[in-house]
Amino acid sequence: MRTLMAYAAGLLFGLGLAISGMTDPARVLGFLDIAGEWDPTLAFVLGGAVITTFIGYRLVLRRSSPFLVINSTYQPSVNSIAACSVGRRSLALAGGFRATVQVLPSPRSSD
Amino acid sequence: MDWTSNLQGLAGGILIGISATWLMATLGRITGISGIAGTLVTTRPKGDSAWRAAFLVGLVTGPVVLVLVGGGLGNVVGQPNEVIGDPAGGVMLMLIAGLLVGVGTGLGSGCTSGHGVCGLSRLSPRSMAATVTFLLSAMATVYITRHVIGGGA
Repeated sequence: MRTLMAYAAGLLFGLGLAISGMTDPARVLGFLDIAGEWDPTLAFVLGGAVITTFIGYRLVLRRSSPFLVINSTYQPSVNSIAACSVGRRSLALAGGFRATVQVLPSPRSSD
Repeated sequence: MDWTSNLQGLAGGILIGISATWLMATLGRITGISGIAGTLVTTRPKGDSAWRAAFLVGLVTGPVVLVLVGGGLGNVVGQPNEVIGDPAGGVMLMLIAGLLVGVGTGLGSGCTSGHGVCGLSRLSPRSMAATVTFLLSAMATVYITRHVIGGGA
């Protein structure tokens, strides 16, 4: 049952990616290329996803547990920003290819 | 402004949001693709792997179904019946880039889906910081590779 639910979630996600055009690297790059012919599609995708999830999570998280509970329900801590010092550990999707950079610690961050 | 692609983007985004909500409702999990895939490959936790594999299979079947159904739903720019685009810089570059994305998502504890969709929706400061950082550094990388090195190509 869990497997089936997870498959459905993956299927929806994949359909969403394909319909929105995010399976096309050119579209993603078009959004990232602010100095070129800017393509705002990714902003619509992220906006639609965040608004939907924002509402969805609020409805779902009212329940004390998920419908199909697994032993170790996991939700990351909302306030673990300091512990993880995101300034130093961040990812980036980028490039004429996709690249990751490690951002150097900012002088002001003290942890 | 290409409103067709913007509206398709919005529709796809809403599907992604429903997917994230669905996974939280049923399994109580964050829909972070890098985490789902990474944990499956590296630690393969007992009793906690099947759903991960199922999610990933579903993720691939979505676009495949669209290709099979046809009907112009695929929207690679300029190729109406294609859904998945060519790698932007060749296969070798893509392999290297994929490794870098893996390292980055590992260090950053998440990717576009985990931080950008689920994290922002939960108003997580960590995810906001991560999302702003990866979007800005991605834009900077594209700017440098296309306009500084690539000469505006």
